Amino acid sequence: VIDQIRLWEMERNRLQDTDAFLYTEFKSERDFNSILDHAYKLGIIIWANKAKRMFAVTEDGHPQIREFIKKRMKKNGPQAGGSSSKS
Amino acid sequence: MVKAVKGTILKCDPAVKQVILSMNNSEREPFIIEDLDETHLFVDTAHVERIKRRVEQLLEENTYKIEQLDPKQ
Repeated sequence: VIDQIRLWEMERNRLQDTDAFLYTEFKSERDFNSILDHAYKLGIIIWANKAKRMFAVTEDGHPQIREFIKKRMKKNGPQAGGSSSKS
Repeated sequence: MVKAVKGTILKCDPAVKQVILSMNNSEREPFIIEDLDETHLFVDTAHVERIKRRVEQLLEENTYKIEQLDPKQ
């Protein structure tokens, strides 16, 4: 029984799942860093990699980031890049 | 063009990640959306429960390997 509990514990520790939105294909490092900083401030980052220019946020955090990117695009003009979202 | 995709982040040790990678490669429809790093995968949420069950199964089958990995032994 002890072995079984230990196995169960190890399995629990070995694989964790979190529903998320993965953001990719940032046009510039500047865009990426500014949006990532904002997401960190909101405390919604699950995973990020600056070299790959990718980050993942919680499901709850996703609408906030989507709005932030839209506003940023409006401010920077229509040529500043687009945004698409699959859900 | 910024892209946002919905899915599930799996966080695991590198050994379990290898198990999931080989599971993904042996299937007709791959479920891994993005291989993030050594300990993180981004996958199709619909497959998460099945992946977890399979990993659990494999860990049970390979009890002796787990014993070897246990630092308390």
